Amino acid sequence: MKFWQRHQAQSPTVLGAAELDSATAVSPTALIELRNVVKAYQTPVGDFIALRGLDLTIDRGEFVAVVGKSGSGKSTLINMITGIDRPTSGTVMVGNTPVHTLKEGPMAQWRGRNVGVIFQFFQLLPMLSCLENVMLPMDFCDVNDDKEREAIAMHLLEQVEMAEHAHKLPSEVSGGQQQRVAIARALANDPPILVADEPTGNLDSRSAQAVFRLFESLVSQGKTILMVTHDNELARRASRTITLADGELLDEHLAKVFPALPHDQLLAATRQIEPQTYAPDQVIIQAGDEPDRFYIVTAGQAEVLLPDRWGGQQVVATLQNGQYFGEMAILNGSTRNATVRAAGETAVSVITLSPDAFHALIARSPATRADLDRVVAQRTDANKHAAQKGS
Amino acid sequence: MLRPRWHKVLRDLWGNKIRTILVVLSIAIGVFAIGMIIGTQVILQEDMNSSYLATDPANAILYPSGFDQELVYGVRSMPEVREAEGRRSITLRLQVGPDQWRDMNVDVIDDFEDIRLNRVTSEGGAWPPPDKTLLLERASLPLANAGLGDTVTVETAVGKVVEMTVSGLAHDMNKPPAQFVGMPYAYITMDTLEWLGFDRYFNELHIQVAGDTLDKAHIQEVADLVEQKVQKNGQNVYWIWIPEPGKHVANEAVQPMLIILGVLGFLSLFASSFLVINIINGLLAQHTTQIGIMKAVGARKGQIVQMYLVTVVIFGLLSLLVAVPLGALAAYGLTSYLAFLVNFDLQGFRVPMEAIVVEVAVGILVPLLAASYPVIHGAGITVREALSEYGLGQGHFGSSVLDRLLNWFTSRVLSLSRPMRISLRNTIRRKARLLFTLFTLTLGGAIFIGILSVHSSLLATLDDALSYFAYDVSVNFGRDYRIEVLQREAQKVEGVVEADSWIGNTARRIRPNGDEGPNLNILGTQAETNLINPTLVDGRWLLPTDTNAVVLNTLVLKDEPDLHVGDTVTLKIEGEEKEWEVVGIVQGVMTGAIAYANRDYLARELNFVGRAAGIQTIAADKSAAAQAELAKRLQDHFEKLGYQVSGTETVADLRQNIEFQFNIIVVFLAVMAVLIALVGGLGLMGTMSINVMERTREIGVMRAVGASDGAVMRIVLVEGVFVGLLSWVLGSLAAYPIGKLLSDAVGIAFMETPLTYSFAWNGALGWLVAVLVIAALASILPAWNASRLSVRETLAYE
Repeated sequence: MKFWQRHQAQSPTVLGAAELDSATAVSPTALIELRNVVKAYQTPVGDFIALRGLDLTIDRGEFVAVVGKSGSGKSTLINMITGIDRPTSGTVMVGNTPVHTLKEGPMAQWRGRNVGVIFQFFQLLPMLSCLENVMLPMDFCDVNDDKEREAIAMHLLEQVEMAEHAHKLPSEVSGGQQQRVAIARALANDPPILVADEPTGNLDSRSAQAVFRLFESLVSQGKTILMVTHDNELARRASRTITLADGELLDEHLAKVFPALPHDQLLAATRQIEPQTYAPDQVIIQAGDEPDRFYIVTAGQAEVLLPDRWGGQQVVATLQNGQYFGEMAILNGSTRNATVRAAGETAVSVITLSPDAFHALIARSPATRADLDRVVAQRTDANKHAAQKGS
Repeated sequence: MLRPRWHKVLRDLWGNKIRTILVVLSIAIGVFAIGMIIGTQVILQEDMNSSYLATDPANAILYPSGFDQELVYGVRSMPEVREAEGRRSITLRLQVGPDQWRDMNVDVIDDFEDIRLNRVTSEGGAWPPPDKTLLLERASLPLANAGLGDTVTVETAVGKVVEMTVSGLAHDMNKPPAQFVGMPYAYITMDTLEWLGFDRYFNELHIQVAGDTLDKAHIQEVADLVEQKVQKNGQNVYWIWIPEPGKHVANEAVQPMLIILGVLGFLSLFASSFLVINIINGLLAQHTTQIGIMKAVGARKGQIVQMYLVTVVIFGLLSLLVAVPLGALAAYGLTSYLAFLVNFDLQGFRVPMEAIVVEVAVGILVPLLAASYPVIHGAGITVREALSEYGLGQGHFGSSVLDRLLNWFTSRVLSLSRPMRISLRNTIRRKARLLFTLFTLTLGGAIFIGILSVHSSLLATLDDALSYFAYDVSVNFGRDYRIEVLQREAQKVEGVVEADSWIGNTARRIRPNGDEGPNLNILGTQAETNLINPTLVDGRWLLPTDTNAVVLNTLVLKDEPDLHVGDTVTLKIEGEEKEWEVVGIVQGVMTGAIAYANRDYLARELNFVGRAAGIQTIAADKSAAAQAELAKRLQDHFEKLGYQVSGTETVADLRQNIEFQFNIIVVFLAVMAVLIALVGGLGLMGTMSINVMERTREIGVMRAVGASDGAVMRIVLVEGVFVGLLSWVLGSLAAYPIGKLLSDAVGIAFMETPLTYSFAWNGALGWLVAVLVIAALASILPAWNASRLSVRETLAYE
């Protein structure tokens, strides 16, 4: 820990906690904020839009998995954050740094100190030993003196359990070991953010697990990690998953609620969602009404109410972030059979879909329809059970 | 501890040894050439001039009619003269084989212990030479076919044959090298001269002026004063020779040669800088991903630029390690050879500081300059660009008109096999690299052919010169005879087609302002002679009826550019000034400045009517052997008649002597041609290596779909050979003007006139063979490397 503290103290441009808190461009908890980011590439056959007006906020300490098909814009997105690429329009704020405005030279220095980049193919310089590879970012960014650099690099290699291979060339260690060294290199300047582009894509499952555990440990130490992955299993283990399709972010909640839906449908649905916010105790849907929306809770809590035997209403369920409601009446073609209201002392945020959009969404996905039917059946049973209990 | 980035630089250098060696050699060749030339120039300048000045060279030599020591004392007493010395120069015939004789120049020195000017020094044996013996100049030994202690047979112009012992060896730096003139030099005393049957008198007056000995005008003034004094003494002055002050006579020939070599050296450096561009470009292309990674972890462009420029500086330093010592050795070797040719001693091996300074400057700066654009451009790549360059197809093919044309040509017109098409299309994928490689190889080829063209032009010029004076064998006599008799007797000798004599003397132009111009020859010939084939430039040739008409050659006009046809020119011959009318201008080739006049008229002016001291003959058989036999027959014939034959000369011998001198020029030029060809070969090898490295994945794909080792090798080899062929076509085209330029430069440097240009077609064919061999050799290693790559390696290549 000693090394880290000293290291950080000597790196004035590193985004320290105090600096982050005083940042004016992003919200107090946000570390990374992309606003309306568009990235277009000119190709011989016309412009290719890689990112289409992307908005994204990532808080400090989050472990974000970025998923999506090949060509969906994952790498372009993380290149925006690392400054490896610039947006055609829009803003990218990391801490209080407008990354999109930095010139190439300051950008390299900023990146070297603030963002650790990890690649799928490890990309260690083949002519340098593992230790020297880890020292390289400190060398380029003039962080610490020579002796300290070696000690820090060695400490990092110990952290990734590669100390005994410190003096070997990359070609003398396995792929998994190379990736550990690459992670140590990414940590060399103690950056608050790590960005990894398919870090496990070229590793066997055991090595992949080890790397992932390392990431988890780093997140627990306060690092913010963005990781592009094709591995759904690993993505699920991240604290947050964002999905890209055709250069747009799929709504995270929608994607979580309907994991079986293909990305193009999710994207179509994302475009149709309407966010709404309800004050505490405000009724969101009323029993007996015609169904007009499908809801997914994105913040706060919502209570599901059914009539009790005394003519009052009893809370039969509390819905959390990521849970949905309002689907039963739409699916059954009936009126609302329960009331849902905002619970607690904070407002409830929801995203909503119209019945038509909802029907269109499930019409092309029998699996999703089956999932919903199962949930509807479970809820119907639960409601019956609650009604019996209440009576 | 060395920073990781410098570790990377060093390991990059060490890790790819072939590339490092290629680039180091490429730079080294250019630096070597420059170092060799500058080193040679410096050592030669220092040693030749110091050796020359140590001989107390005469500032002027007057050639009066015979004079004695009294006149020498008189000249010494002149305040304008610092030193004066009389010498006698005679020509003897030396027997060099059973039936072989050679003219030998003999200097007669009055007091060997008191040589004041143009010092001759002892090189072993007796000093001074005892009576009836001679000293041989050390560089004359091979020509004299004799050594110290040998007895040689000599014959005087009056036919006296004596045997003399070579009692000692001498060194005389003031004589033109013996091999150049084809005549040995010897030294004897006045007593020996008398014993040989000659009168005791001097015929050369060597003077050193008081005051500025480097001021040619001052020397000329003093020489004129001395001439007046000699004339007052009753002697004629036939000729005054003022050598370039402070400089050895060979300096005039050596310096232009070194300048031409220097230009070629810079050209090879220039060519090698293109290789540096190519290799650094290739290196950066290969390191694109690494540059991306370094930038991704925080490296700025400036840091990357610094790393690669340091790499280039290390290349430069390594090349200096190779080039400086080799350049110094070569410079000393070259200087030693020149010292041997010019006949002086060097002051020992050394590495001139001037050469080192220039070598270090060019060895570091030229590669840095060459690499700066590729490095700055390469380091400017963004991380995204650097990391997104993957897969096949680096060096795009198909987008340009040239690509499509080659595509159509190779597939439709030539119907080449697929691998052959790959080779040819690969050639033009990296167009800038191809251009740089082609430039280097083309330059090498053009200079190679150009240099051979210089050789053929020299020979063509020699042919012109020798056909100008169309005689084959000349006979010189110890005294003058009647021309009619000489002609009649010569015609009697078998093999003589025609015989005629010309007469000559030295003359100087009296310019309109009263100044005297430099010496020129006035040659009296019959107007309708077959012995001279002049190339008329302006006006007309002599007519039998001409009296005071002269035809000047163009070399006269170099010193007297104001003269034109129709002008009247005043010539001073044997102290007499007379006006002549310029009726024509003819081309001058290797003859010096000549004014041609009607023989009979000139003879009357010289009081020499109907007489000549030599005869020129045209032989029926022009071969060298036949000429030598004819010379012998002529000599025997005239000697039987009791004529004093002082020597014979064949044009074949003359040609041989001149060709020997030409060959020295060509050898030096050829050394540079080989260096430039080497640069070209290295360039191609570098290009092919980079191409193979860049196309590793493609080669993997080809192997994956069934290409054998041989097929892969052939693809690379054919590409290399194709580049060689392209360069040959371009080189042959460029060789014509380059050869002309070189020929003009050599001609002006050595003969004061451009050479008769003759393009070396055989040189073009020779270069075709050479470039194919170079291309094949340069491609073999990369081709072999390509064929060694396994599919797994190539497709995993990152």
